[in-house]
Amino acid sequence: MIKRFSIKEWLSTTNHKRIGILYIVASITFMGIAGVFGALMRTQLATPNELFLDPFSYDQIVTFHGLLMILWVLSPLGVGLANYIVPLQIGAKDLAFPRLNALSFFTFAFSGILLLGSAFAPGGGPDVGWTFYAPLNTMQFTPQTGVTLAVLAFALLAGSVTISSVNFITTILKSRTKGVTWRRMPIFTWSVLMTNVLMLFAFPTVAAGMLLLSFDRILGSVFFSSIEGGSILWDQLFWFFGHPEVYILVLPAIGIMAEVIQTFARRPLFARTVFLIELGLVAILSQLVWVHHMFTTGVNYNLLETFAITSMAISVPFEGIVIQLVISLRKGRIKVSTPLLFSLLAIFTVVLGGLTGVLQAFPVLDYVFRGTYWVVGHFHYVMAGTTLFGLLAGLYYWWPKITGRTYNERVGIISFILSVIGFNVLYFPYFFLIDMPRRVSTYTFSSGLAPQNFVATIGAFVFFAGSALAVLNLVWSYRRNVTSSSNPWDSKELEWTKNYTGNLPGTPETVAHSQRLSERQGQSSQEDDRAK
Amino acid sequence: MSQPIPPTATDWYSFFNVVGYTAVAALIITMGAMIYFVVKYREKKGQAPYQPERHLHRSRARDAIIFASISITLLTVMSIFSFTLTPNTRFSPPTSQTMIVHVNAFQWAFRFEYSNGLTTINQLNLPENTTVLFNVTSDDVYHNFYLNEFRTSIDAIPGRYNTIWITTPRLDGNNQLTYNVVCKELCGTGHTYMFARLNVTSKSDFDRWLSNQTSVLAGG
Repeated sequence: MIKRFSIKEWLSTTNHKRIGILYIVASITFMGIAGVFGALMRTQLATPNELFLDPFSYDQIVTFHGLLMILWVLSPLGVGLANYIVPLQIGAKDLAFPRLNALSFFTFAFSGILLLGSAFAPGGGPDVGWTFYAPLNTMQFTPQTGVTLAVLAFALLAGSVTISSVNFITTILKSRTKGVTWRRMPIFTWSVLMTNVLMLFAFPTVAAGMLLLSFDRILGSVFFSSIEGGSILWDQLFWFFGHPEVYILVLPAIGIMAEVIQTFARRPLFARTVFLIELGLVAILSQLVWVHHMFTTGVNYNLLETFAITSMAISVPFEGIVIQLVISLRKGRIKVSTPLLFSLLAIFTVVLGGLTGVLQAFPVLDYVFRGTYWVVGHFHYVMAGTTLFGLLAGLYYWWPKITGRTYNERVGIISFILSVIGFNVLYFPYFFLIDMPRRVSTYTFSSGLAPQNFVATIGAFVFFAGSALAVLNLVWSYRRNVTSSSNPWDSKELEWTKNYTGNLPGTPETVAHSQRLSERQGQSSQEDDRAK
Repeated sequence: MSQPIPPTATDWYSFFNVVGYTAVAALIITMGAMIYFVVKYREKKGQAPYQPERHLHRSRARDAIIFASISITLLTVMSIFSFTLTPNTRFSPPTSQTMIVHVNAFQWAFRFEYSNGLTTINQLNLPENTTVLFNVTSDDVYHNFYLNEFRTSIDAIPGRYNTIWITTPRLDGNNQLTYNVVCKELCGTGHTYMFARLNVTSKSDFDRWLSNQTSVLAGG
């Protein structure tokens, strides 16, 4: 596929496939680093009164783990897959602005290096958590340069995300080939479109927040250090971005799960139109729930009730999505293989993560859960579970497309089993740690928190091994060098069925298309041809 | 270490159990269906060749709407229940006979100030069976005042006064009951070690302690 490896060619490329691969490789590299940080945290917490890491180092590791995993791993991994697959699914030559695509990748990569570099800044790295709560984030309480560098890295990343979301939205709106109508557009592309619209709405507030904070830290302004309202201003700016960010991470994974399930169950998605409407509702509602991160700040009671209702409302379309994914398996002809297994695991984690999220939507319960390990368990089920496993499923699913190689199915299933066991042994005990606050570097034996923590640490190592094996299996496929056929899964989607380089002539045969054909006994294709 | 569950926490536990068991039921139903479908409809060896046209089915918008309405009904019932519960446990104490304690969180301890001006650090003494209103704020960064056994918490934010109230349990023969006060918002390097003790004693013991401490303070 690639004739000779040339660094110059890769660095100067504007090809969507190559930039997609660069995104995937970069985010998996960051995942390795952030994963090691996670393992260090679990090692520290394995036993009570542990002194393996001092509180300052521990706080820095917490901050790096959170920032890297959320913004430099899960989000760009989805962007990487979207970069490679979306133009193929809609029959476009490339993204609408190939050079902007390269710019957004290199901005992303540079911001990641800047963030990691902040660990070596004088006075130490950032130790404020990925949420950067004010006024702890101001010079008075964290004078080290590391925090300033992390703030700048975050602002740069927001720039990179904005560039890439403009690019994707334009591409999907304008570069679809003839025949890829809104109704026929594959679900993954739909989910990427919604993700990017969400990014365009969510990131400006956090970019503004980070810029104001850098003014505070560098120029001495007082946006967040002022006693009157500085903390609440930061909460609002941060969570207006912070909550949609969770859906920005989850939506591409949901799109992948839907693609994988309809391919491997060999059955179109159950009630596809309703599924897309639900995805849209989730995207809209996710912008209207951010105050549920601020229930304990003493917000106005009516505001609190309103946001409790929107937070519960968002679970209704999400539940529909999950039920439809499950029902799509019914009466199928299910080919059990690694991408499908990871998708099913992602369904399990989204159900458990979602249900615990519904519990948190009730203010009376959230007063207690907030800031404890219960919440850590909840969002790891959603992010480390659904997003990571969904994206892994996508990586396995499209691996033959991207590399032309077949991975080892047996090793894939072993990595799946290790992931199931490790993940649940790691995160399920967190729901029994309501009495343990987040981001503490140790705890005392008398507090009764030791057994759960010890079990979780064992799970952490198994999970680490499982996900490392899943990635290594893909890397090994290069050494095994078993070439794959052009459509190994018998998929009906456009990226598999047509092997082309440019725009497609005529009407492509997508799943949605054949579904409509069967509905209208062959009338639809004639209608469409007449319409064109 | 079987301490009595404080009366304000029992409401919390009963609501948590209702919602929690509903969630567990939903989890079991969904996952049961998923595993059943995968096992039943998996591709077996020696099956007739797969025919795509037999596996197409029509969009069933109606079914999706039925699922949605079931969950909307459940959520509405539970949220009405939760809203009747929320103001009771949070905003206004049931009696006007409350004791007021000012809580100032700072890096990295809690300072408690009683109505007669007595100040203690990391030690909160309260009489049994009394409704106590806490007026919570912070001297420096964002903290949280978490009474985990009482199942309630509120943020301690600089420049802002937040209130919560609890009712202390009866001693029931114990000499003294001890609970935890924890900070659960990352507030700097000392966050791990930021906790205080809440001691519940009998009313006479409490009054004696309060007057002793105050006279020591006044005499000193």
